[in-house]
Amino acid sequence: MMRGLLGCVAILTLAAPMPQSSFDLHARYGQPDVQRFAIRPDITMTVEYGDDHRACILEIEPRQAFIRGRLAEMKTISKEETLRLLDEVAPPEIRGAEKVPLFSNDIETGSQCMGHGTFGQYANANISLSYIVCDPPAGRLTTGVDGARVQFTRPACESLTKWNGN
Amino acid sequence: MLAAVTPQTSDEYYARYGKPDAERYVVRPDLVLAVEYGADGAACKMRIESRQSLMYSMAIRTNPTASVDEIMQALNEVVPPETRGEDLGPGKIFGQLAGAPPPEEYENVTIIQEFGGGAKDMKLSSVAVLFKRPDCQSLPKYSDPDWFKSLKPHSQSQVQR
Repeated sequence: MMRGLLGCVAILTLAAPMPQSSFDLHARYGQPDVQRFAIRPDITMTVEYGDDHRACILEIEPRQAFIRGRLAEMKTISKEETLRLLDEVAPPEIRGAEKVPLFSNDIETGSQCMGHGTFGQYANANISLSYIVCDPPAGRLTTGVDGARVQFTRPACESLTKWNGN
Repeated sequence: MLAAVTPQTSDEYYARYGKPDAERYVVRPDLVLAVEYGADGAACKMRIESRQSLMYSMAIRTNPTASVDEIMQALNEVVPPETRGEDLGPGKIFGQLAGAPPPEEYENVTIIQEFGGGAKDMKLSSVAVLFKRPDCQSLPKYSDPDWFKSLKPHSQSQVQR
């Protein structure tokens, strides 16, 4: 009877869905090439690593589903908070000498509440921000940043360019 | 001096921000497995698709590199058929998927095939797996209107057709 019971437990164990944790997947596939961290309660940072296992791309966004398409929810982070976070994860010492300052250029990318983009260029990294500006009757209003990206320019990051999805 | 304390590796980010809530693994040279974890630390959502760097995340994939066989092989590896539970048949969907199969419902997971590629040559571009554990309930499910809102443009156009 005991043997039968153990058999049933074994069958149930085999049939149960295998919970896949980070530990399980790491053991099977090695280090992840991308990870996402909650850097504030409602803000995430997605990191893509280079061949040297150091960060090559950092994407700061309002928290939303990781597994989704390109149509993100319309959430934003204040410009001030975004700049604070950029200084936290890619401080000037890491970016290197400034070549093109952020907000010295601006590209309109949408209509009505306009999507805008700007980029900064530094010795070791490029930073791009996309943000939204609305035109209410009272005047222009920057509603917030919907995404910020830091792209490091180390040689170890060059191999990522081949993964263009095509 | 400051450069030394700014995190730049996985361990350093972990030390500062805690466990990642999502990760991506290279499961074949040109194929990745994206995973979003639930509050219990186990996978709640997965997507298997051709590898694409974040630097191209806004680009439309016109020719996914991974083959259907590779994608299905990886699916069976990470979610073996015997772990899916009873096959409950096709799931309900919002709108019409022109020619695309509906999601397949199992006792423990929902499996959604996603199609992409050129307009003339639609092919399987990715497979999403949604786990039905209680700890995953707070994450969006495919049956939420939000799921289709968040699908890729190709899948969206199929829905609208």
